[in-house]
Amino acid sequence: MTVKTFFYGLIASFGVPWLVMLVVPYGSMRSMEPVRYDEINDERTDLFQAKRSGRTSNGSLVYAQEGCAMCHSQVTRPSYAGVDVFREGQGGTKSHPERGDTRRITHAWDFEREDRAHIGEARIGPDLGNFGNRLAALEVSENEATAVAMGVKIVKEDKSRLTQKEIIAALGDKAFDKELYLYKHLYNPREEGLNDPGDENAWSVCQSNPQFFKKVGNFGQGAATAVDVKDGQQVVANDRCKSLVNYLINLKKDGAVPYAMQYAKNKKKAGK
Amino acid sequence: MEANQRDTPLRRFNTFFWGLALFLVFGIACFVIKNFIHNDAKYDAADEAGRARVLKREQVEKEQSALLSYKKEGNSVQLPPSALFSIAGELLGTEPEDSGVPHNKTFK
Amino acid sequence: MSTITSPVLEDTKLRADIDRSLRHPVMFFFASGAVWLAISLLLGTMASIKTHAPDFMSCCSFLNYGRTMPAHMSALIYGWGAQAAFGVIIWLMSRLSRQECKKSGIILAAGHWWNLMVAIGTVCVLSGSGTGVVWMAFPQAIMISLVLTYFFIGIWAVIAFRVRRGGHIYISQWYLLAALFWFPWVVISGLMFGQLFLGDGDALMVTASTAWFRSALMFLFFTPVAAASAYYIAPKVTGRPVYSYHLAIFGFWALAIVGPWTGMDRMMGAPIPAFMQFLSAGAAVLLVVPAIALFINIIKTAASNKDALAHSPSLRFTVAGAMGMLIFTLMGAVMSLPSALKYTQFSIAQYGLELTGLLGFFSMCMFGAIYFIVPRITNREWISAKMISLHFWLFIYGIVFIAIFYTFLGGFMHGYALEQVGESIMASSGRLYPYAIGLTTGFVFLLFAIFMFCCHLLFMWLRLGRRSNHPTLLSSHSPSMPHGPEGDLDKLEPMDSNQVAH
Repeated sequence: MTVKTFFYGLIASFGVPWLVMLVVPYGSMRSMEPVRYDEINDERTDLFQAKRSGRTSNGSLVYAQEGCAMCHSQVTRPSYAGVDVFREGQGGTKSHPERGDTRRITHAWDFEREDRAHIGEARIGPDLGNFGNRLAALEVSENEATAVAMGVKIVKEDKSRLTQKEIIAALGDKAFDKELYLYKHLYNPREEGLNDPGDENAWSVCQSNPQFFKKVGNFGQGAATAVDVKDGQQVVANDRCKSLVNYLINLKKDGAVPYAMQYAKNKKKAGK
Repeated sequence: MEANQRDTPLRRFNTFFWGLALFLVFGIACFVIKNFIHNDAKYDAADEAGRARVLKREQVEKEQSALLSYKKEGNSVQLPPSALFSIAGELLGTEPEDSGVPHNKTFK
Repeated sequence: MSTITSPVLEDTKLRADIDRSLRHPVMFFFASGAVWLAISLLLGTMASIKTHAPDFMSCCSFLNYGRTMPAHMSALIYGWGAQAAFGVIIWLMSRLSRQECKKSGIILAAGHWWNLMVAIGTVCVLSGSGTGVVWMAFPQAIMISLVLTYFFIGIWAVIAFRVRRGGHIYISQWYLLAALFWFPWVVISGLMFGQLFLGDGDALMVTASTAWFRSALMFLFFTPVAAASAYYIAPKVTGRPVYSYHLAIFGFWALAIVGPWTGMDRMMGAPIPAFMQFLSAGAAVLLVVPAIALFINIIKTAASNKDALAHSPSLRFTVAGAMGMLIFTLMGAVMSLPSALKYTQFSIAQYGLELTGLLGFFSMCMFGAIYFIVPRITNREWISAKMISLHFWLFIYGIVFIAIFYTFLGGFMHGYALEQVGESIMASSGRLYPYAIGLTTGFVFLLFAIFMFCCHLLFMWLRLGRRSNHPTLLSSHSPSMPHGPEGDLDKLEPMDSNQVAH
């Protein structure tokens, strides 16, 4: 083997996989053609638009910097790679009150407007791909439970149920606050009674995050989102915490997709 | 010890700059390939949706202008607005003058 | 000095000159690398404790798992791994090319700069301004600076190769030369596609690029350097040629061809082109081929001189490293089978596998090289065979425990729990608990081992080693001298006295 053949071999053996695994997929993934709804199956012909909300850029950055991805994944794998999609709440929910079966696998537009897709290292904690949806479901059940406890009738005389808005209006400041719930979780994940029922959270190995909170003077009625109050000082979330919480609340990956993108084709038709 | 034919200052110098060139060229190539060589057609679903709206608007305008074309129903005649533009322009250009129409009861 | 005419003496003098020319940078890389290894293991222990006792020191946010974990990995890779590799590369390349290094001052300065960058980067990660990517957690500016610094460390080894003496090119030289080129290619690609100018790209391919970067760095930098060291130490210490040169060349090309395809199996099931995920999983299985080639060659060479195997610390570490490579790739192959990847992709197995590769394979080979090189460049022998032996056994115990108990058993148990639809995350977390404690235990053993190693090496750096021409062996009643004629420093006495003033 001469030095020359060695270099040719080195360049070829590195160059081919470099092009095939890195350069070409990178170029094609960055300008993906959008998916059009199918007239027969979807009964509409416009383009599929992935919707994201929340502070996707700076919330995602805080998520990365604090290493959340070390313990939490954000992907629902197809069934050839795991059972994720059948785990209740991970890829969507089996029986959504309005939309029915919303389960689906993660698609390429789910990470739009983020610099980096936080696929995750390990699942030491739960998958967070659909955390926002699970939190919304928790909000509903918590509010109903509080309403029952307070004696608010959630079933009206004509047998119809109160809407969430009506329940929240009836509960006033007793209504479930998603942000406060997350602040408390980030402040001390093992706080007793953080989750109902009981102290279900005591098992959690999630880290408590003092870096997300600052102490301010406790004046007047105090902040509604203070996680702790002690000797004239209240502990409130700082800006990094607020953007992270906003990002987490909006982590939803169960939006309807065109028929062509559905993993299980026997699902309820999208767009209805 | 035998003399080493390979060890010349030129060879050392060459190797240094070839190494530097290879190092920099790979970096620059990566930078260029990643940032400048890609499909120019950037697909944006929002843009595509916007295009559909433009088409819709064109269609609406076409249909509206069709409705405003010359038509005659009984005694009244409908002219396309553009046919009246020259007359309207003339009228707007003239000085206001007494029309002879009464404004109030004090008119004699 | 002109009186020296015998070719043997001339050769010994050349070797001594090479060793003297590289004494400072090589010793600096080894010593600071060892300190970074200790720091990294401390951070790793901290991270591991946090997974079973989350409230331990929870007042200090910089010790949170999400920060210590990437800091631990980065310190391990750039602090210890890269520096140990640099030390071995520049020394081995000079020795094999039979050329003195004329730019050791620049290498030393670059080494200091490298250390400064790693230190700043680690502080950045711990203070919450890293990037969150495990093998590239340092901020972008630090990474760019590291790549540029690398050039001023690596180029002299390439020059030494180009102006080499003699016709034959050893297999170690091929490995080293490849590693010297692969390192910038891999790091620049990883940096460019996974770190810089992100806004315009695709979030998923950014993540995929960093996944590729991790295994490319493992298989195209750490593996060839470790292999080069093994292919040098085994024949040198036993005094026999490499068992099969053809097998060695075959192993090299097998690695070069398979290595760059790995890594994307970490993205299995993510919405990137599926062929990449499966190609990488297949490549991970094929990596067993170069590992077997290396293993057979090293074991066969070492077995040809059983005395040396029993007595030489360098050879013992090297053989353990070759076994580590085989075990590491076999474990990787089993875990990457698509049917097993379901369980291991998001379980603790992946982290355990990385530890097995970096500590059980790469570091073992590096320890072997360090135990061989340091006495030659300091002109002193290791102080205590007991400390070497303790280092070896404690390290072996820790890493085998981590590989078998944490990675394999724990990884599959955790993965199994994750794959049970009915089981809540609480249940899988509960299953993790004993293995998390196991990891901490393993780390404690590693820490003791590295404490021994670090102290020993730092004593040697302070030139407190034994002034003797008998190398420190693991058994005191050695009939022969496994390190061969190289230990004969006494023959250089007249020359040494000339240069003792340095």
